[in-house]
Amino acid sequence: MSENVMVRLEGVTKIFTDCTAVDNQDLDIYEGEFLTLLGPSGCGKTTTLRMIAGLEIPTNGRILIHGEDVTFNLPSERDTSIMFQNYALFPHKTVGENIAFGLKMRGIDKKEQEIKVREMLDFVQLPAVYDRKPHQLSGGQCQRVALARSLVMQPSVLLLDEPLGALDAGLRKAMQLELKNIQRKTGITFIYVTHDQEEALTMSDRIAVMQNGVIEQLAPPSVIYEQPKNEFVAKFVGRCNLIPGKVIEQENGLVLVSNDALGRLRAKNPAGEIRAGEEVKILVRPEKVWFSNQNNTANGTVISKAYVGSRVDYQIECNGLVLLVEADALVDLYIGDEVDVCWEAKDSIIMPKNFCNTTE
Amino acid sequence: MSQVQKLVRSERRLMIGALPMAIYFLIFFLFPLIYIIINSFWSADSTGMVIDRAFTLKNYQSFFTNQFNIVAYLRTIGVSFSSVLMGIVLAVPLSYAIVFVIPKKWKQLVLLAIVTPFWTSFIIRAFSWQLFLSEGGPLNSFLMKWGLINQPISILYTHKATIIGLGLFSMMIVLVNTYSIMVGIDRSLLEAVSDLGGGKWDQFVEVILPLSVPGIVLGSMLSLIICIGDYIAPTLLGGGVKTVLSQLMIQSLKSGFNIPMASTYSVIMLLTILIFVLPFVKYIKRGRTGE
Repeated sequence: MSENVMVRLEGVTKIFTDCTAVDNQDLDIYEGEFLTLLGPSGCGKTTTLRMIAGLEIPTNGRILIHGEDVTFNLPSERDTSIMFQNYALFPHKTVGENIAFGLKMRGIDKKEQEIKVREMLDFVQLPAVYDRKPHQLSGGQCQRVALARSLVMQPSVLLLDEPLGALDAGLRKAMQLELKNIQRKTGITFIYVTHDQEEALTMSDRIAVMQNGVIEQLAPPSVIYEQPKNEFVAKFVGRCNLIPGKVIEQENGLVLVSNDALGRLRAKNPAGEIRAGEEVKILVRPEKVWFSNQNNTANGTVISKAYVGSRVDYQIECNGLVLLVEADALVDLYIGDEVDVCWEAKDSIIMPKNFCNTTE
Repeated sequence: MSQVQKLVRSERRLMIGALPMAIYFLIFFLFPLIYIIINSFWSADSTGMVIDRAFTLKNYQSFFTNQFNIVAYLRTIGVSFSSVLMGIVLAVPLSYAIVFVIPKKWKQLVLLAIVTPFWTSFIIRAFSWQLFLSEGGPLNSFLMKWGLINQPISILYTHKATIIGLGLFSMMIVLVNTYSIMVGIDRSLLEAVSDLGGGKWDQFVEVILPLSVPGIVLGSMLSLIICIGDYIAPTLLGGGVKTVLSQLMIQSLKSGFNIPMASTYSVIMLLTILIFVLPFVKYIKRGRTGE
C-alpha cells in the first residue's frame, strides 16, 4: 500500500431537507487501501459513499480523486464505480450485456466488449452464465456479475454499498475472503460500506466507525477493536463489559480504579493523562475474561448460560454488577454456580467519561 | 390432512365462490355471443322482418365481395392502429416526465389532470372535441393567431379527428399502464447507468423503455380493442361519411333491420380483434411465467 491519497474528503457536509446526513467530514483514503465505513443505519455511511460516486452532491465541502476536485462531476466523469446493495443488474439484459454496458457507453466495439466481458467472467469464476438473465442466477452469482460489471470499467476506486447484505451466512464468509483477494490482486482502492462489524474487522485495512454523520474513530481493525476511542465504538464493534469506577491513581502506565462492586481494578489507559477522582468506565471484552482466581479477581454467581456452538456465553453477577463472559465450550457451569472471574489488566482499558457518548 | 388435500379443498372452495360470476357471464356474455355467431349464418329478407334460419354463408359472401365493405374494414384497422400509435407516442414520454422529471409535489396533480377528463362520458368528450376542432374553434383560431396557418384547416369530420379522439383515449390507457411500471423501476438501475458512463438518454433507452414494454403492450392491446369497436368517435368526430366497421353494423340494423348481417359484422370484428390481440396475450403470459 502506497501513501498516495486516492480520495480526499474536505469538510464534506450533506444536509437533506429534514436531517444532516454527513457533518463536516474530513477523510483521506489511500491508494490500494481497503477502507470500511462502519456504522448503524442512518449514520451517513451510504451517503458518504454516494457522494464519492457522484450520486449525491455535497451541500458543503470538496471531494478530490487523484488530487482533482470532482465535487460536482457526474458519476460518469469520475474514476469510480459503485456496486449497489441490491446489485442493480439490468433485469432485461443478459449477464453479458450487463457487464458490457459500461464498455458500450464508452463506445468500445462489440468484439472487444465480448472479449473483455468473457475475461471478466473468468476472473470472477462465472464462465458459464454469459447468456443468462439475472433472474436465472443465485444471489451469490448476481453479486459476482455486479462485481464484474464494475471491475470491467477498471476504476481506480471501487465503492461497495453493503454488497454482501443479501447473502446467507456461509456465502458471506466465502465472498468476504474473495473480495479481499480481488482487492489485493487488482490493487484497486475499495471503499466498503457495512453495518456488520465482523465483516469490517475481517476485510479492512482501516475502519471508519461512523455515527450521526461523524467519524468517531478511524483506525486499523485491531486498534478499533482493542482500543476503541469511546463507548459507542466499543459497543458497535463487539460485545463488551463496561465497568464504571473512579480513578484512584496512575502507576506504571496502568490506572487504578475503584468500583463499588468489584473493588480495586487495574486497567490500561491509551488516552494519556488522567486525573485522580475522575469518573471512568473500564472496557473488558467478554472473551478476555476467564474463570480462575488471579489478579482482578471477582467472585460471582452464574445467572444465565447460552450455548453458541464454538463457545458458551455466561452472565455472571458480582455484587449486583453483571459481567458477560465468553468461555470455552469445555467449561461446564450451571446457573447458580459460584465462580471466580478474572482478566489481565492489559486486556482492559479506560474509557474517560467525557469521551463517552450518550447514545445507548 | 396433507398439504395437497388442503390445497385442493381450498381451491374447490374458491371455485364455489366464483360460481355466481360464472353463471352471470354464461347468461349475459357467452349465450348472447353464441347467439350472435349462429345469427350470422342465418339470413333476413329485405324488410328484415322474416328471418330464414337455414344455414347460409350469404352474409359473409356479401361482406367479402363488396369493395365498399373491404375499404371500410381496412379503414377501421388503419384508424385504430394510428390511434393506438398516437397513444403510445404521447403516453411514453408523458409518463416518463411524470415519474422522473416533474417534482414530487406536482405529480399527483398532473396525473389527475390527465385522467380526470376521462371520467366524463365519452359522448360528452366527443362533443367537446367537436367544438375544439371545428373551423371556428379554439384550435384553428389559435393556429391562425400564431400564423402557423393562413386559413382554417378542416380536421373535424375527417378521420384525423377520429384519430385525435381515440388517440388521446389510448394515451390515457397506455399512460396508466406505463406509469405504474415506471414508478416501480428501481432507481438504482438508473444510477447504475450513470455510474457506468451513461446519460439521461441512455437511462431512457437502455432501461426505462425496455422495462416499460409490458405496460405499453397491455395498454395498446386494451385500447386497440376499444378503437376497433368504437362507434362514437368515427361518427361524431369522423363525420360518418367514410364509414368504419361499427358504422356498417349499425347501418344494417337501422336501415335494413338485418340482424343476421349485423351479426356477421360483429363476428368479423370479433375475429379481427382476436387476431390482433392473441399475440399480445401470448406475450403477456410469457412475461408472467418469467421469461
